[in-house]
Amino acid sequence: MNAIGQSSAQFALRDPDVRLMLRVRADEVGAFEELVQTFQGRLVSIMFHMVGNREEAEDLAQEVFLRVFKSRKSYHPKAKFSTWLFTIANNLALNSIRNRKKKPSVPFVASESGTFHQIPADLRLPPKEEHPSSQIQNDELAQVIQKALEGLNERQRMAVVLNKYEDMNYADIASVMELTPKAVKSLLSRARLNLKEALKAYIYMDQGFGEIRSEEA
Amino acid sequence: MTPEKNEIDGDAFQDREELYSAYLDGELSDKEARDFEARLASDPEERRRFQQLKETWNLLDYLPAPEVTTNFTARTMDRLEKITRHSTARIPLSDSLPGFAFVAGLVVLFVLGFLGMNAYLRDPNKEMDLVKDLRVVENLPMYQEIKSISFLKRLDEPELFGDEVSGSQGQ
Repeated sequence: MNAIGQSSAQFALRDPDVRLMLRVRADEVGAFEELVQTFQGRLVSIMFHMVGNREEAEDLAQEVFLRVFKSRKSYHPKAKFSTWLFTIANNLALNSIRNRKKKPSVPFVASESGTFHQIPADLRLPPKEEHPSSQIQNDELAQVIQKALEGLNERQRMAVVLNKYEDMNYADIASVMELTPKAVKSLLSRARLNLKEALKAYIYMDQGFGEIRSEEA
Repeated sequence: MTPEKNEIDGDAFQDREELYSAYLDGELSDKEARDFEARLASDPEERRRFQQLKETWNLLDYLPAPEVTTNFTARTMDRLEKITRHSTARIPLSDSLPGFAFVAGLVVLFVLGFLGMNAYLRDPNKEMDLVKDLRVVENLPMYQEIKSISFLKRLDEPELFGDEVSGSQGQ
């Protein structure tokens, strides 16, 4: 291993998640269960934002964990563990969405429990003109946002989810999605434009958020 | 294409939107960020466009993260155990396949060798060869004394023994 490889491996070993994964690789009793408990919330959340259905999100998250277990012996720490984990998640989520596109489906809607279900056409959200933005409740807004996310292509959606909900920078997202940071920048920019278009009727209901720095000045 | 996009050419529009996006994501250098903030401060229209993008992004905070079902870990471990058990049931066969193949190969070679040798020993031609060569076999110790073919050929020369015969006759 060269000097760069050594330093990146040493850097990775400082990551407690890497050390946990190394315990999984060594077949240490209880380590894999600990890994599942550590990452289940984040993985299910990513998958939920990608597919819009909690049951499917949990199935996909389980599949990610099983793949982690199966490939544990070939794991070599090079970067943050979450980057490796989310790369597997990204591939699975994109495959799942592409497979789903091949099958006919109806839109998803959120129930009070937060689970999204397929609903018949007559129960779908009415056109937004019927809902003044100031009266929309948070759960309805969540539904609208989920639909806006689903309107993005799967790569834009994954970039948004990793950036917004995992707080990942362009370099890490690029690593997960096997793209260049420049491509990620472009993906996120186009995703924001699409979201702005899809959510423009709801933008000004959000006046409670902080002002931009230039306005504060 | 949005009306805004018609106002400027495509590349400039894309560059501007990427700049907004990179600023929101904290991906600009300090100098780039300061320059951008100066632009926002001096241009109300730019500030409005940027504010729209920022608020759109903030709307995503309203999307709740789902709670993982309480038995998720247990279900995952069960699923893993089923797969592992299934694999374990199959793994010995697949893992020991080379061993089985080696042993099977040895058995096949042994059987073929046995059958081949048996067939060779029972070959009637082989028995005929033995009969044909019987006199050679019987005299093999004597033939081995001869050492070389040339010596044997010289023994066959009549003059070699002819002189001795005539000489003895002369005595």
